[in-house]
Amino acid sequence: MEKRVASIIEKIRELQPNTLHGNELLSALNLDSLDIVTLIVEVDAAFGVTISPEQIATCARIDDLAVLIRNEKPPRTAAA
Amino acid sequence: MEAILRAIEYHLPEHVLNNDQLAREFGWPVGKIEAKTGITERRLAGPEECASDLAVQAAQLLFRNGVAPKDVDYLLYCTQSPDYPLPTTACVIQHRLGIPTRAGAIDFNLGCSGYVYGLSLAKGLIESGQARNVLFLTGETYSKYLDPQDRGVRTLFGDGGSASWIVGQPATGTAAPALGPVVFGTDGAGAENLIVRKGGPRYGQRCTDRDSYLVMNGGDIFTFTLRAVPEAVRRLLEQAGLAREDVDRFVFHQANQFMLDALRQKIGIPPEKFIIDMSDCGNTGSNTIPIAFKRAVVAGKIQPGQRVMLVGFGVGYSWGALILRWE
Repeated sequence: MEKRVASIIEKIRELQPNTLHGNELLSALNLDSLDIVTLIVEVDAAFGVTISPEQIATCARIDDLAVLIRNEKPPRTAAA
Repeated sequence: MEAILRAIEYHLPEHVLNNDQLAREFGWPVGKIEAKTGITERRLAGPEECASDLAVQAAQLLFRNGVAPKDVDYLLYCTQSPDYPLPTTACVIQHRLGIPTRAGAIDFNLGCSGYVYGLSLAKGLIESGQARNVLFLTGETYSKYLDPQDRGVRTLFGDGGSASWIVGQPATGTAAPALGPVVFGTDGAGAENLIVRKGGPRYGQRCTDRDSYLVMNGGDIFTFTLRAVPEAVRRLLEQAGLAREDVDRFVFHQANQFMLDALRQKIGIPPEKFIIDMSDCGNTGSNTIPIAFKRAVVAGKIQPGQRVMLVGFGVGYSWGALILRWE
């Protein structure tokens, strides 16, 4: 999941693939309001989890964002 | 008696604000504005043009197409841009349009969900026997609330007015009503995320000049929308006893292309069933659904007999969804 989240942010910031590794500070990425909106939509589409700007603001690093998404994600039901 | 939506007209003001002008002002690439918003131009009211002027023009189009002012029993006017704090703008409109003085007339203050609520109110008035014919107008001039320096809102919003004619007809006795069912939603916890503070007494003397501008926290609005709208659609389908595939067309509040694409994909609506039409007028608040609906009818995308789902959502937070049969 960490890699997928990093990949989403690379796409939003128009960075080359594999530029980000997860330990980067979100504040250093200069995400503007349009980027945050895009992040919310991309995370929702990728993981089925709708996060809020307030939740994103609690995350210092990309990996923290991945933890947030994992914690928000409803548990998978066992296959029949 | 059952209520049915019989006709829709709309009116846009003359002045055009296009992406070239905004790109020059804000130093944004023209393509980026269109790619993110799906909007190429917006129509803005003149300095002395009110939302009610736009709604009246739309009503006059209805009156030129077979509807008579004398037949109006009740006038509903949805706006967040009233002519005055008081009197009620609907009363002023009643007089301007020559609607009989025996008619009822009220304003109600809702934004992007307003069209669904207005149809629901009209249905209630007609099916409870209080009115036979309802003229439902929407009018907005959000452009007058926009901070000239705020590119986030200036790229989105435009002005407009609409008029819808809802009438009572003998109930057919079929299981599905012509208008309804409807589901609602409200969460005032989001009030501050789309707000104009000045003009009401809540902030009183603490208001600054900047408080006369519309403030929008876009991220919060997206979060709310992605959480509330799919659930409203699910509840409505359940209430109607329908599957998503049973709905022929979906007309959502035309907030912006990015949001609509996200919602369509999340809900799983095929693109050919999903109406998007705002590129030349922007987000016009409560007008977006009737404008997109009318254009879809004219273009043949909505045909008589089809089942159409309308979904409004936004400022409040307020949301509502409704299914109707277009005749």
